[in-house]
This record gives sequence, structure tokens and C-alpha cells, in this order.
Amino acid sequence: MRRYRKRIKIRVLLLCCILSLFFLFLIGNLVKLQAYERDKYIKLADSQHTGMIEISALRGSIYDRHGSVMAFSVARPSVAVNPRMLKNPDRTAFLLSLALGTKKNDIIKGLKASSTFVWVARKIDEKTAMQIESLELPGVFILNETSGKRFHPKRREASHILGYTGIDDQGLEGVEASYDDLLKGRPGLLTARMDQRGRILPGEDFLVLPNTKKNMEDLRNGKIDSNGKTIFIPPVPGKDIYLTIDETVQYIVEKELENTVKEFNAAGGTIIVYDPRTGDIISLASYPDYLPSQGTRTHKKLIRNRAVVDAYEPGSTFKVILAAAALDSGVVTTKDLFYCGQSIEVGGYSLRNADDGIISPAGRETVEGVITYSFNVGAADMGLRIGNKVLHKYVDTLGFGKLSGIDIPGEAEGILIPLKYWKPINLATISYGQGIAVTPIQMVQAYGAIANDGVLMKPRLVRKIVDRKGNLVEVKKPKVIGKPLRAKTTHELLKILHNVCENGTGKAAKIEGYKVGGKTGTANVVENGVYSSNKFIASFVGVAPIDDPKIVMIIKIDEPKGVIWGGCVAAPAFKDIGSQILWRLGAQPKKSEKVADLTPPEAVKTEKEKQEEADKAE
Amino acid sequence: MYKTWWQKIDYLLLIVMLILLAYGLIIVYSANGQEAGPGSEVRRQLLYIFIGIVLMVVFASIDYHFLASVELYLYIINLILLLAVLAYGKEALGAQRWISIGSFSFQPSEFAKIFIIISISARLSDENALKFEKLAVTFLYLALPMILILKQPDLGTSLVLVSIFFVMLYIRGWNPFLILGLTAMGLTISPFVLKEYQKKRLFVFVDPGMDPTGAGWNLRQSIIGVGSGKLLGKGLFSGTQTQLRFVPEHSRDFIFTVLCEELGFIGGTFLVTLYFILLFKTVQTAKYSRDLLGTLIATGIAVLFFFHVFVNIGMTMGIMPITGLPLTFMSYGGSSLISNMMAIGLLLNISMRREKFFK
Repeated sequence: MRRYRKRIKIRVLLLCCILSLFFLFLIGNLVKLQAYERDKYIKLADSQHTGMIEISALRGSIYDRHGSVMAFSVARPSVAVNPRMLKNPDRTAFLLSLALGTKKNDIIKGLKASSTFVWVARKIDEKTAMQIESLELPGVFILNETSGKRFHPKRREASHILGYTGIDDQGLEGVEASYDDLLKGRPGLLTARMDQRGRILPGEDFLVLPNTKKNMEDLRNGKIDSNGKTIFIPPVPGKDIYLTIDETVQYIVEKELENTVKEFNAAGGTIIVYDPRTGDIISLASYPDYLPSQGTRTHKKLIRNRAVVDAYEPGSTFKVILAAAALDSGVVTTKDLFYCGQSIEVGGYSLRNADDGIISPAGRETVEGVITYSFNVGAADMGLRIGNKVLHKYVDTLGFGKLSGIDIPGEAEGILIPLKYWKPINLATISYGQGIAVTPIQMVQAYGAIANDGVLMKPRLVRKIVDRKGNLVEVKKPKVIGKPLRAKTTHELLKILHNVCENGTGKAAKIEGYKVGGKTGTANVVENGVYSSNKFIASFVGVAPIDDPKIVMIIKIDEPKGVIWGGCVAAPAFKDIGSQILWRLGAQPKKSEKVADLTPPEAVKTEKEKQEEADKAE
Repeated sequence: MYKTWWQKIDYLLLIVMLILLAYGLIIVYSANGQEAGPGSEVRRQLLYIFIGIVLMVVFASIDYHFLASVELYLYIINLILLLAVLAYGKEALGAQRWISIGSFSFQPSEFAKIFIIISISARLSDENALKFEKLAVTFLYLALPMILILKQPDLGTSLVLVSIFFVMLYIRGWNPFLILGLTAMGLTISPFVLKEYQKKRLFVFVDPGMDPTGAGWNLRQSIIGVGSGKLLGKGLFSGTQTQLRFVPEHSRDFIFTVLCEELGFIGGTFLVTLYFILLFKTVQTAKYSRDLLGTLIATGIAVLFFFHVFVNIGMTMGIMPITGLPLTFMSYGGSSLISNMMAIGLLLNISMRREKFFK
């Protein structure tokens, strides 16, 4: 029995030893965690107790040239208070309660908290926020946050100019994209100690830092030691943009564009109304259009801005560029005659006139005749006569083959074959607008030089940029690019263009009470490298009024069905739009329609003078 | 040479228990954000302590031989309570462990540990307890309540009971190799018996990434809490992990995390030392018991204490699975606290009634 008890005692002792070992193991682990690895865990603990709140900035608005709002975001102001900065909590609470219409007691509790950051009210209306801001209470902040939603009061209007914003309020197309940096503003950041549910805790100190890129990055990457501190970088709201667009003109243009596209069962179209004196885009429309508010859910085809993205073969409208080169270079005079028979042989190819039934009775025409009746053969002859170098120089200086610099993303350069590859056949076809690809914006820009005494302007879509308080940030002045043509040439050209509308292919563009000029164009669509036999682009580029040009307008209709001629499809739209908008743009209709002497006394103006004139018009 | 009864009381054991209780109260107070109003956990815990003291005195006064003689009744009451849990029990945190009487709810599985220790000790202290038939009945005797507890499901408590039983068998003199063999067998069949979530909880400590939002997250936060405590801690009431509610269940399962974060290595080691003294005293009681019955009861209690302390503390440091076992005398919770105080009562009972010859 005694031995038995002894055995039990030994076993109990053994148990005691084993338990002790286990306890040593526990202590060992405590040492490991709290001594050897403590720095790691202290860092981990700190990092998860510091919370960051990004405070979104309000996106700027987009206005038309007269201040009519085209796109805006709604500000959702929030009121925050740093209780430590308050001079008189009771008074502050009283004033805030008056402005917010809440009970003072509800506010005072927050203001007396030991925290350094307290939301008093979030996402209130703007009027109330302005009232509170005007009180200028120390320690009270108004943070303009954006609701993230973009509003377009004119619905579909100017969709291709405005573009749209994405889910994160970022500009994806149009001006929204090209001026995204200015429009979006800069978000603010708040770091503070927060508990697991994201509630802000009392901090040691409160720091307001200016909203600079460096501060934001440093705070985000933890380079600013926020240990225990509440650090606040307020957001900077985005800037407002004033476009050169006239919203009323835009409305008219879009309506007429839609009518024309539907009337001729066309695939689409584009119209640009351009002020040749300043380069302002008064209107720019593409059809089909879309709802900018639905931008992210719209098919890319509809979003495509045909006015700047589509390069096309201009056809006969390009003959005016040829004429400009011919007359301005002095190689050709207005009296010279060009062969205008049925066809002409160039480099083994037979080039023919368009089969529109117009034939030259004499078989020879002046520059005016070639343009007025749009003879391809005559144009080819003219081109061959002035030669590669001359034509290429004018095509280049008038802005083809390069970006116009309009503030819309995705602009195309078009295709201009380098001079060294020009063969006679290229020269001959380019003379009547084949074998070269241009964009509608390039066309109005070049015609604009003709309507502006030979001075080429940079197309302008934005007039000025203003901050949220109404201070001017930047004025985008009209910009002269160069003076590719002499004023004398342009006056001769305008006369010719006027004649086109009086006697030639552009009769349908005539506007009652105004003298107008322009040129029609009908070109085959190039499909997979060959000319389509049944798809055409009908276009018209016009200037009005001819004796004091206020607008240059291009109308380009893609793939009209049935009637395909620029003079029948596009020219009437020029008349319909012009008659509605010209008086609005300051051109009074006149009874007399005779072409006045187009050479004004001060005919030759320098580029500098033109720049000053443009600035004045501004 | 006769001692009066108060001279026979094991005062060191009592004092260690009281220090632990006070220590626990402070940490529970801190874990609750220093909330001590009516209905707060601190107040309730105080109430449980008073109930516990009463029951401790009761269990110290009634001779444990008498308790052993009525073990069958205790066993039946225990079974009824466990059945009642399954029939009427309240469900909380995915397990059915509580039954309510009035506004109080309690966890019969906590008390079951004490009752089963008494019952099994009574059966094993029999002279022929290790004979095959007798031993087979004892196994069944344990199996019945264990199945009921497993059904709740409460895996942790079931494992406690098995460990208690095996260690008692060893002390009783059963072949240690047979015990090891049975343990190995249990481990091999466990993957087939355990449910998926139980396995997950059991093994998440090996790889906290296994359940990063649930148990793994809790574990990670707990380790960060312990690790960032350093030598002296962040100060009472100012542990960021705790006060910012990153540590889950901080007054119950993870109370050791709170203690280590706020009182550091010193605080943690102090607690472990207290537990060591408690265990030492318990094992000593077993060693110096007057008879086998006392030794077995005290051994059972020693294993009970040890298992809870080691598994709970190990869990907070990521070296033991998350089983939901409370920390003895520290965690908030009446059933566990009161049953542990009943165990202390039993220990006092045994040490008071010991006689010289066993030395």
C-alpha cells in the first residue's frame, strides 16, 4: 500500500513538472511577442488606428459664351468643427443652430467634445453653407464635397463638345476630358485616429495644411507624422469653364443637322459654325448625338466626334484651296483659262468631271468658272500648272495635315502625302480634293483664313476659366497662327465663292437679305482602300456675310441616300441655319443683294493688326 | 496538537484566488471603457463573485466524501441540466449553451465540469476501479454528458473533460501507454467527426490567413494587442487595440490581450505567476490529500485550471486554437466564475480534511 501511494506521489510530481514546462512556454511566448517582435506590432497597431477620409472636391461647371450653364455638379457642403479652435463654443453653437435650423443643445455637445474634428452637419444645401461661411466663425469649416453626379440642363445639347464624366467624376470625353485637371479640382484629405468603426477620436493636435500635391502625397504615404494628430488638407473645388459656344446657335444647328440627316436618310453628319475673326467655335455638332449624363453607357459610335475625329476626302470643297494657292502664288491670274473638257490624261490615268450634267460650253474656264461649276478636269489642269511645290506649300500653311489644336481630345491630323511622294497624278487629284484626307475643323479653319483677310486663326473652344468665387483664372485669347494668304487673294476668292452661290452649284445656300458664298463638295467614301460606288459624303463650306464675314460654316453629311450632291444635301442646311443665326451674331439683313466692291480701303492688314482686331472683338 | 478548522484553511490558495478576482475586475472595467454603472459587466461580475463565495463556502463545508457518496444524484442532475440546454437552451454565437431562469442565464456545461470531476473521482477511487468491466462503465459514464456537450456544440469543454479524465486515469495508476494510445486514436478519428467550421476555428492559428475576416482577423488583432504592449504596457484604460474595439470579445475570451496591451509584459507575467501558484497549490493539495478520492478530485481541478489558462492565453498569442474557453477567474461570465470558485471550495475542503499519514 505504501509503495502504491508512493507511486501516486511520483506521478503527481511528474504532472507538476510538466505543467511548469507549459507555463515556461507561455512566458517564453510573451517575451517573444512583447520584447523581440514588439516594434513590428507597435507599428501595426498605430497604422490601423490612423484613419484617412478623402473629401472629394466639387467639379467645376461648364458655361456657354453668354454664361448659360451646360454642365454642372451639385455641391454637397458639409460643416465640420474643430472644437479646440473655437473661441466661444456657446456662441458658435447658437449661430450654427440658427443657420442649420437645429437645436442648439444638439450642436453644443459636439463642440464641447475633446476631439479635434467633429462633423456638425453633412451634405447640407448650398445656401445654408454660404450663410455659415459668411459668419466667418473660427474653427468652423465648410467642405464642398461633390455628389459625384453631373447634371446637363440642356440634355443632349453640345454632347460632343462637353463630353461626359465617369463613375469617379473624371472627364472622359470632350471638354470634360481636355480640361479635366482644371475642372476636377483637388480632393482634400483628413487623417485622424479612428476606431474600428471609423469614428474620429480625440487627437493631440490639429493641423491644417495647404492643398499641395506634395502635402497630399506625403500625408497619404505616411511621411507626415500624424501620430495622435488630426491633419486636415481641405479640398480645392474645380474651376468653371466658359466656352466659345453660343448655346442658342448650338440648339439651332443641332436641330437642323438632325433634320438634314433624317431627310436624306444619312448615316450621320457634322456642322461647325466658326468665327473667322477670332477662331471661336460658335457651334459644333455631330449627329448622331447622345446624352452626356448617360455617357458611360453609350456606344462609342455615338460618342465619336465627327467634327474633329473623322478624316475624310473633301472633294470639290478643296478646289478653293487650290484656287487660293494658284492666285496667291501669282502663277495664275483671274483671267487665265483652264481646260475643262470631259476628261484629262495624267500619268496614264484618265480623270473625268463629275457626272452631274454640267458641261463647259467653251471647254475652257477661268478660275472663277472652274470653282463655280466645279470642274474636276479644270482643277487638275490648274494644279498641274502651279506644280507640286506651290500647292503643297499652301495646303500645309493653311493647316492641313496637322492638328488644328482645338481643345477636344482625339483630334485627327488627316492625311497629307509628303511632298517627295507626290506624282503628277497625286497633284492632279489633290487639286479637286481626292487623295487627301482632312477633318471638318481643318476645313473651317482654312476657309476662315480666306474670310479673315488671309490670317489663319487657331480654333478656340474655351474663352475663359474662372474659379468658384468668380475670380478670373485665365483668359484664352484668340491666337493667330500665321498669314498664309494675301488679303487681295482672299477678296478675289470671296467673290468667286459668292458667285458659286449666285450662279453655280451652291444656289441652294442663298440666304435672303444676305450675301453669302461657299463651295459644295461631293466625295466618294473610301472603304477598305477603294472608292465606294454608292456611299458619298455631301458637304458645303460657306462664308456669310461675304462682305464682312461673321461666320464660316461647314456642313458635312455622311452617306445620304437618294440625292448625294453637296449642293442639294448640305447647301440648304447652310441657308436654314444662316437665316436663323446671322442676325443673332450681329449681321443685319440687307435689301440689296448686289456684290459690293470687296476690296476695302485698308485692304492689307498685318497679322499683328488682325490679332488686335480679334482681341477687340473679344 | 489538534488544529481548529480555521487553522486548517489553505490561506495562500484563497489569497491567490482573491487577487485573481480583483485583477480580473480591473481589466473587465477597462475593457468596458471604464463603465461601472448599474447593469454594467463590472457590477454583474461583483455579484457573481458574491454568489461564488457562498457556493465556495458550501462546497468547502460539506465533506467531499459525502459529495462522493451522492455522486449518482449529482450526475443525474447534471444530465438533466445538459438535456435542458438542448431542449430549451438559448442560442448565442452559434452555439446553444445557456438556459435562463428569470433574468439570469447560466451555462450548465461549466458546472458539468465540477460535477463530472466529483463523479469520476468517486468511481475511480474504488479499489477495483481499474478492472475492465468497472472501467468500461466509467468510460460510458463520461461519454454520456460529453455527447450532450458536444451536441451544443462546445468542443472546448468536451476536450477539457477528456483531458481531466485521462490525467485522472494516469494518477490512478492506469498504464500511461494505454492513455497515449487512446489519445492518438482520438486524434486520428477527429478529422472525420469534426464539422468544417470547427476545423477552421481549430486550425486558424496555424495560418490566420485561412479566415482573414473572421477568426483569423480576431487572432491577428489579439496578437497585435499583445505585441504592442511592450514591457510596461500602454497604461491601464489606454490600450488602443482594446479601447478602439479592434480586439474582439475583450472582456471574455480575449481579456488576456487587454491585460498585456495595457499592462505589458510585467502585467502578463504577474498573471501567469499567479496561475502558477494557484496550480502549484492545487497539485500540492492533490499530493497531500488524505486519500485517493481527494487526490483525484484535486488532480481533476488542476487539469481544469491548467487547460483553461493554457489554452486561453495560448490562443491570444496565436499558439493555441481559438476554442472559446474563458480565462479562469479573469474573464467576465458568471457560470465559469462560480464553478471555478466551487472548485476552490473543493480544494479547501480536501486540504482541510487531510491527515498526517499521507505525507
